[in-house]
Amino acid sequence: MWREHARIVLMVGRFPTISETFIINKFVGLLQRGFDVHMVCNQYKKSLAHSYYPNTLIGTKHRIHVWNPFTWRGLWMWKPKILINLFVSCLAAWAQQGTPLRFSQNIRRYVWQTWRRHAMASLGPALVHFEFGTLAQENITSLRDTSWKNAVSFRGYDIEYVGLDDPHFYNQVWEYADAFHVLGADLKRRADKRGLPLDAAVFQIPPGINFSEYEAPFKIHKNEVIQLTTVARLDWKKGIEYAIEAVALLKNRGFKVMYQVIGEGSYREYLKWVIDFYDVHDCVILCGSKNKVEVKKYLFETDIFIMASVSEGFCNAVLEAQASGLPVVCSDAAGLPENVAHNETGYVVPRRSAKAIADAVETLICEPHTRERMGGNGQTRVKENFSLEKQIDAFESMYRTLLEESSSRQTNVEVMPAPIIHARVS
Amino acid sequence: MLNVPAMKSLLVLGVQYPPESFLLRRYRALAARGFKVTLIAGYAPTTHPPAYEGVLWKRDVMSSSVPHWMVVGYCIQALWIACLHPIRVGRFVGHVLMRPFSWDLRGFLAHMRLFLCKEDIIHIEWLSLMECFTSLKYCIDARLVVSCRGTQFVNGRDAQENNASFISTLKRPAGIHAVCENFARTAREIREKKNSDVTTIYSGVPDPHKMPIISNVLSFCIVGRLTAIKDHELGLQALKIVRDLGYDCTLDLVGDGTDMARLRYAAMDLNIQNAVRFHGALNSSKTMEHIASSGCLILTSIHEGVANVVLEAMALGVAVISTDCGGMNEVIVSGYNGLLVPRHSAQAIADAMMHMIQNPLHAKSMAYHGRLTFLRRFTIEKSTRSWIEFYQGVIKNVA
Repeated sequence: MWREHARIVLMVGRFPTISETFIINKFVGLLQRGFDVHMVCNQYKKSLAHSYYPNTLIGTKHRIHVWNPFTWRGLWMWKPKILINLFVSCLAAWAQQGTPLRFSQNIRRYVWQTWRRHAMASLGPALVHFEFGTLAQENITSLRDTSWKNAVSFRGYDIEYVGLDDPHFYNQVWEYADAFHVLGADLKRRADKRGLPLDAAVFQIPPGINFSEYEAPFKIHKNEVIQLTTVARLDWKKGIEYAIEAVALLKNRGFKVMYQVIGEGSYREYLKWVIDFYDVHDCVILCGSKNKVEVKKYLFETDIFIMASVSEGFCNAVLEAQASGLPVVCSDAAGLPENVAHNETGYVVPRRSAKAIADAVETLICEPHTRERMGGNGQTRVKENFSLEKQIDAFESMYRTLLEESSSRQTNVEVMPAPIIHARVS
Repeated sequence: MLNVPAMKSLLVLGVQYPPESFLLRRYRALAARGFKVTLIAGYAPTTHPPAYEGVLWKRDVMSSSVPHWMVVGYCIQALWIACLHPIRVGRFVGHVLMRPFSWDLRGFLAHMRLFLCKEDIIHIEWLSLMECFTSLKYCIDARLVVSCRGTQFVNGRDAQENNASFISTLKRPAGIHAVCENFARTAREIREKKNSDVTTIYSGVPDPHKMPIISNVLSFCIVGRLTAIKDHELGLQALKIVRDLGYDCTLDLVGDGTDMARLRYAAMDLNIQNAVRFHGALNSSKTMEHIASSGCLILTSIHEGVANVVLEAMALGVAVISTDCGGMNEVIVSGYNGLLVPRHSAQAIADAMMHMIQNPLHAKSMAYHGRLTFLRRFTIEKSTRSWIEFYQGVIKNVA
């Protein structure tokens, strides 16, 4: 089998982080299919790995490499060859940039780049997949000066926030990577704007979730108080203040609602102020961060799921909510309109608009049967389009195409059968 | 008439290096009048730049940047002091021993040093820092002065719901300074008995001695740290609303902070990236230039004491739009020397911007009256005078 002989290396930054479940899902999924997968990261926290993902990483210790040239562990991997290489690339960079000052600012980066390229070569991969565009940009020599195939994932973070000042920020990545992976059509469009070449091999693979974990029959809760939930970091990207404002509007219209936000972040103080400002102490709770099992419990008691993001990649939390049979009210930020089918599994409303959220939630509160219908639709839709199986299938075919093709560049764009995207509410 | 000791020296705690410009201005003014000002900070400069003339920096024992050999030195010093003042030190040590969890050498030494300091007034610049100096409660409350400022004060009020520490903190010092009457009122309510010792002193800004000619009413300016509490995104949303109505106005953002990515994204997302310029953090003269060259300054904060940038703009004779937060309504009379709008509402700010654009004469008159207000109430001389009066009053009360 080709799977066992072609070694695939997934490259991530920190591992694990609580909001990046997709990486671990992919890693475990590929392993189960018999791939020879290795994971490379800068930092690894074993305790976190076990509390976030209990029992998932058993027997994978030798496949997770924590590589940092400045630790004791990384020290023995230094070789004379690396030093020579480093010296040469430093000289070249000096010649190119002219001033010693800028050179000295970048030297740390050259050390990382060169060291990591050699460490990677010691694994002997057939394909290296950089899970973030910024990682590829930092390790550009691993793409340029090596013989293995390179794939790069571009996520919301890479496209929307990094290197906006420099129009040529990703130029080298566009040039040297063999294939690109984006989560959805919207991210593809944004990547195009930042200079993704037209003839590049782009694979559009939406994230997948393990559906069986979330499956629960939808039921209409008989409670008088409607439970609204958001699972998100307390961050400006998630636009929670708009949801809180919407709750205030609903409260003024006479509905009994309870809104809980599961997650933690730097905007807690600000959100507390917003709650104070709209005087909704009695119907908004900031629950703090919870682990997977607890989140499932919260979702089970919820009636409507809200995601008011201002900026978003694709959002796994919304997928999980749909999988547990909840109707979703979400904003039209980036990937969310592809994630939620408008009028079918939930409502997609304009972003930064509390009134639109309140209107959509009001409709759902008044029509319990719509809620039931949307919940059911959501479950089937997620099961059909966003299952983990399907995602792994897509990655498998992507890797096969990459490893089997003779030329380094593929001309046609391969797209996984995409779910239907509906127009947003006007 | 009692023989009241005059205030000669001042010890300031809780200032970071480099200090905020409005603090520095005050210290320099006090030093210029012959007071001895000593600052204790985590980091102290080894050579004094000319800007700090007359102001003495000392390193804080509590900070981790102090090397161990210096701690040993402090220990010896503390033993020596214990020999000289056995009763006072005994009381202090007794107090520390009562609370076994505070057996931290650095903290102990820092408190000891404060306890025995010779200054007439000890001023803690931020109310929230009072929690760090618990031993002051038992030792030197006679000379203690605390400032209630914007964010710190409101956060303190938040804690007030949860525990009583805020109330006890506010009851402790001999004198309280509030940056605006709004905070002073709350502080008085909490302190109940002593009504007279909460004083409002507005900060003063230097007089630029020039009046700009506002040529472009379509350019707006926002100055401040880019943090959530300043709510700058509202300014961008307001700009979007005004631009959608067909006015080609621009916005300059001066400042840096954690929200930079958020604002850049918002500018891109709202499709006004060509109308917004991000300048990053600038020094004060360049900031003043930006304010002077714009037609109007906008303050979008949700919390504020009295924003110094608004006072600076008024001194420059630039029209101001401000949210009605903290003490801003004590500075601005809406329609007379600026426009006040409700907090957290982009539409309200947009309306105010429209008003400024459509009535340039009114904007000009507001700018003129802003300048008058500054000359009457917010000059640096006036504020220094009231600071000295305040310190003298505290000493008098104690005596």
